[in-house]
Amino acid sequence: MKPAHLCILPFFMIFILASCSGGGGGGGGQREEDGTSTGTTGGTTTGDTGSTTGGTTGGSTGGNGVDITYDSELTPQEKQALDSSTKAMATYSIDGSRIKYFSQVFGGTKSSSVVNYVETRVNYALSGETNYHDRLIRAPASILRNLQVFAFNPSTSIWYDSKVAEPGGLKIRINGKAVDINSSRIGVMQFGDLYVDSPASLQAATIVHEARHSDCTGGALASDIDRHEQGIPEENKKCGHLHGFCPPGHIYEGQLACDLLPWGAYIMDAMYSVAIVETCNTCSETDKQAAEANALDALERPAYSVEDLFNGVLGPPDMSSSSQVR
Amino acid sequence: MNRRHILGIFTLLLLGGLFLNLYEREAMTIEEQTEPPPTIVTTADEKMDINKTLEKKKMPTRSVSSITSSEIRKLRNSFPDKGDVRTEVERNPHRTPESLVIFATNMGPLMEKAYKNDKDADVLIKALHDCATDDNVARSARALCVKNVDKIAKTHPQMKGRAEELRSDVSPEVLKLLEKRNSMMR
Repeated sequence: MKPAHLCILPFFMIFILASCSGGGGGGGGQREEDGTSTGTTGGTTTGDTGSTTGGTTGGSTGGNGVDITYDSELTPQEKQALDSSTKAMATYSIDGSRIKYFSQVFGGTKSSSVVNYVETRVNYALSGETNYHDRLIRAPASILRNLQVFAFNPSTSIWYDSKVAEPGGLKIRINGKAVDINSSRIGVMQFGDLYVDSPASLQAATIVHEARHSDCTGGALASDIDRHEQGIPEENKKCGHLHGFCPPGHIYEGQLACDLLPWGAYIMDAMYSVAIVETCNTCSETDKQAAEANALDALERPAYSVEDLFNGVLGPPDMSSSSQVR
Repeated sequence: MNRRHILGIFTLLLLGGLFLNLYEREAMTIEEQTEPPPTIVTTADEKMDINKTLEKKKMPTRSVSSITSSEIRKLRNSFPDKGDVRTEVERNPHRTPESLVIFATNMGPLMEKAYKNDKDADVLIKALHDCATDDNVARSARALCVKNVDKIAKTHPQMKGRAEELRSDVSPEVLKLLEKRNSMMR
């Protein structure tokens, strides 16, 4: 800032006056930094066809960015939520290379890899109001539970149902068409009213979480198919990466809210959420906050050492799925 | 008195007026530089009025927080109680606890403001400190608060000391959860 006496010069005062007043006005202003980037959105959009399958009930194929077949019973709100969350998933500009094991889990470090991971495991989107048992051809109908539905992947259970019904097995009716059930990767997922009301990043992380439940790592146990038939919980939690009861001393002790084995759905969920928080430059701050909260909650759920997992002590992730029964 | 005299007097008056005007402007600028900021109010709703007044006077707004007390109150009221979170998990074990999601959603716009303005950062850090050190708040929410103070301190390096102070004040179980999170980073 110029000192005042420099401005009190008799002959050039009009020019100096102009420059002094400009300087005085600008000196106290604060430049606000725009913390957001307007860079390009990463990832690829796949399967955005929006075409109908021609089924008798008029469902549609293709989410808005992820190739998922929509069942005709999905509500408009559920469809809209799925459209926006899958679009977000496909367009989030993330870099998973900063997260250990990210590329082993998702097959790459970008959003397009996460989309591929999901498309391998989630094929059909059903409404939370649909009782999927009613869709199982030759399966007895059960009473629809009157619960609020967030998101649910019954694919392993459907596959077990099909195994119980052998020989002949089962098919599942989607948009009026009978679809073969050959493995847990049939990928049927239900989305309900609670899902609809969640932030987009949380919805996207939920699909990533649920997708893991389509993996039957190492195949199924014949004894578990018998247990399933009798309505007893399966022993082999690796098939479907089923959640278990939280152990004594855990904050959710006694709740069916924990992962007992490494590389389960909660870790997939946490890894993807942290990738959003740390690397996404196209996400809003609210999306990042929701993703951070989700990651921290998900990290409460493993009943094993997360540090050992990421330090390699518990071995690398096995992202395979088998339809063998042993 | 002829026309030349009149013109001379007129010119002197004009020059005198300009000198006076210039002197006052410079004096005001120096005052702005040396005086403390016009207000250090942090959370009151009156800040809105102060902002408006400053806007009218075209004075700098650098020292005023745009986060209102009602926004802070809303955030504080949404601190997820650990008992409530447990109840939510009992009701729906598979879902991210609703109160945690609401809390995070309330936080987003305030964090945006805090990144841009150091007074907003100051206001928010106070609330985040209370959140992080309250044993009745769910652990995941307390960890989120610690993490957010770290993020703010990255944007406003002068607040780094407060982030360090907070880490020494929070319980080890919160830091343990953050260590779990950090263990996945390369």
